[in-house]
Amino acid sequence: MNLLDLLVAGANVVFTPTILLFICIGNVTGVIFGALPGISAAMAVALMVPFTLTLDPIGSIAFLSAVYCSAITGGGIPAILFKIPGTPSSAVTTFDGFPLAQRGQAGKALLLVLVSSAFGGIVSAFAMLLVSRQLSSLGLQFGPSELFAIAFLGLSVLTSMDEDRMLKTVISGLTGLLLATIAMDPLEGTPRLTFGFVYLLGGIPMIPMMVGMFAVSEVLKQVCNPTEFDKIDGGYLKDSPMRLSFSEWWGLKWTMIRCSVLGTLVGILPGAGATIASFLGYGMEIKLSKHPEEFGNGSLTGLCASETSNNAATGGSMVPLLSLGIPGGNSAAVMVAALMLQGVQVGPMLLKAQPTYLSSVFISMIVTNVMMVFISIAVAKMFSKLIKIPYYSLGPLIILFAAVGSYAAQNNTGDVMVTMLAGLAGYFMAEFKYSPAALTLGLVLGDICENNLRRAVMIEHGDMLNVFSRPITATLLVLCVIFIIVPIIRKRMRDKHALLS
Amino acid sequence: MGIEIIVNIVFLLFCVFCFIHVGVGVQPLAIPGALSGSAWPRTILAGLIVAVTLNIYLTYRKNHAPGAPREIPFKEFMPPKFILSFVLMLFYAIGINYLGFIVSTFIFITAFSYVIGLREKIKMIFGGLVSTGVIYIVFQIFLQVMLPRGVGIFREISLWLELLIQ
Repeated sequence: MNLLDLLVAGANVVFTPTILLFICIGNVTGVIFGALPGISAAMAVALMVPFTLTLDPIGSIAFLSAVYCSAITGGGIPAILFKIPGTPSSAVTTFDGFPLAQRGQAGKALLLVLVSSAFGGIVSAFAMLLVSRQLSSLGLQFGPSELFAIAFLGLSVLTSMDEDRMLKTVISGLTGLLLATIAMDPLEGTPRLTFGFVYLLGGIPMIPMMVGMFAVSEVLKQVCNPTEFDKIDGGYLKDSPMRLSFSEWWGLKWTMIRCSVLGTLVGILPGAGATIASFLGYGMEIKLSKHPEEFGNGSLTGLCASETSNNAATGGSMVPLLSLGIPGGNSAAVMVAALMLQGVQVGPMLLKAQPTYLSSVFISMIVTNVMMVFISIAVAKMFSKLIKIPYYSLGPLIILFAAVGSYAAQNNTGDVMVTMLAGLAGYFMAEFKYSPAALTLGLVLGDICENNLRRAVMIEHGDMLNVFSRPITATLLVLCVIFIIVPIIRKRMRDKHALLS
Repeated sequence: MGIEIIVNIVFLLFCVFCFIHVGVGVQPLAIPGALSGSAWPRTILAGLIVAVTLNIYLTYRKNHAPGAPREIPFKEFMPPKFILSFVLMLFYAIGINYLGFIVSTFIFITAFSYVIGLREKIKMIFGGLVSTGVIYIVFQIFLQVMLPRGVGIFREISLWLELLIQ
């Protein structure tokens, strides 16, 4: 079957009233669940699995991929409006989205988030269709040492996140890495830095930490120094036009393309998902930008990078799932389980026997990404009404959402305590100009870094040289060193110029 | 000495303690060539000890340089309203387990909105009731998240209130 026939067959499956209706429902629920803090994309997909029992396998995967893609996008809505990342992958969106909203440009930020998410999603869907098998085999060549190098590449952004406070950003990042080590050691089976607390044996949970660092700390800040939202020019969303000029769009074209490719590649790698993609995309754009100082202060490029990358990872994670039966992340794993419930064995034989699977998922992802833009605007408008509520009502509501969202992730009240303590830590960090974002980056990548390094060392029987001298690993590590050193040199040169002038 | 330097010194001491404490009393791995569980944390801690020490030095130098900005007094940095807000949050985080979601959330919402400026009693109580009810319906009924019911009499109260809402 050639590509055109395949696409026609896929379109025939997707463009039926039932499937279109389910994609629409999947979009609405995905965006809403994604916008609720504590409901991750994987959780949203898992909650929707029972509804797939009434559908055929192709309809099921189309529906679940709609939920998945739109949940990742939905996470960006509260990230912009309230600085609460709806999903972990939208933590990066808060860096530039919330400052834009504070400047009265929430509409602009939101439009950019939706369009760049759709762009990333569509590009990754094309990648999935065209190079599905080739990309999966490339992804499978990545062993533990290469995955360690990729995660380390993500950490190399630490020196360029805030060049004026490099040391404080590095301390924040290292603290995040240290927090990621607190848990039961998987190899030795002994508690590590848990200080006798049983709760810490499972490690520091990521969602409560992020929600606390970004949302609770903001409420504490508002308690001390309230911002008068009503006085912000253009209000928050109602009066803020959803418009970007042509030159602004044009200026973002390479960011969108680069981050789409990066996000797709990261999505293909097992274990690395939308969260890592968004951090890597953001870091890459800081390094390539002529104005890195704008990042974190409402940069359109930063916002575009984060959202394009995390949504591009959704298509990427479908590649190994469809062609090899290997889920690229948690959401993909739930999709495999849903297909298994229907008696479908996902793996290389599936695409040979039923090639329409690939094309149907492709068409459904295109439809989802287009539909998502309009549905998200409606949901965002609904959410933005909350901002008009006076802060004495909104503040408690944000804390309540943060607490219940953190609790819902694992049904553990200890997570609520972590959220509140992380909020206090986030407040102190922000007051002393440390970087909660860098801490989150360390926490996200710490586990991946350590586990893959230990695996790689074990495979090479303790020979570190062999671990680091593998061609891909060595190249990536050299890049890391360059990325770490360049901002330091750049800052020194800038300081020297400032002194001379 | 500034608050930041004190926090940094405490953190530095904690890092040194962790560096010594991590991996103590753990038997070496039987797998040949495997990295021990303390190797990675110790590498990070070593980096942290160096970075925090340098940061203390730089902050001290900056604070004592001529024309350095005045230090923020503790009372200004953490006003009573801030401390009270955080105590309420802690009370909520602990209380949710014992008082149950419905009772603790209602108390938290009304008390917190009072602390941050709401003075109308009816709005306070109505706000507490509505937000508790809405969150309960969304998470417990629609999303099937088992919210805590508390212990003892509070569990009975939660069950009775749940019956009312449902």
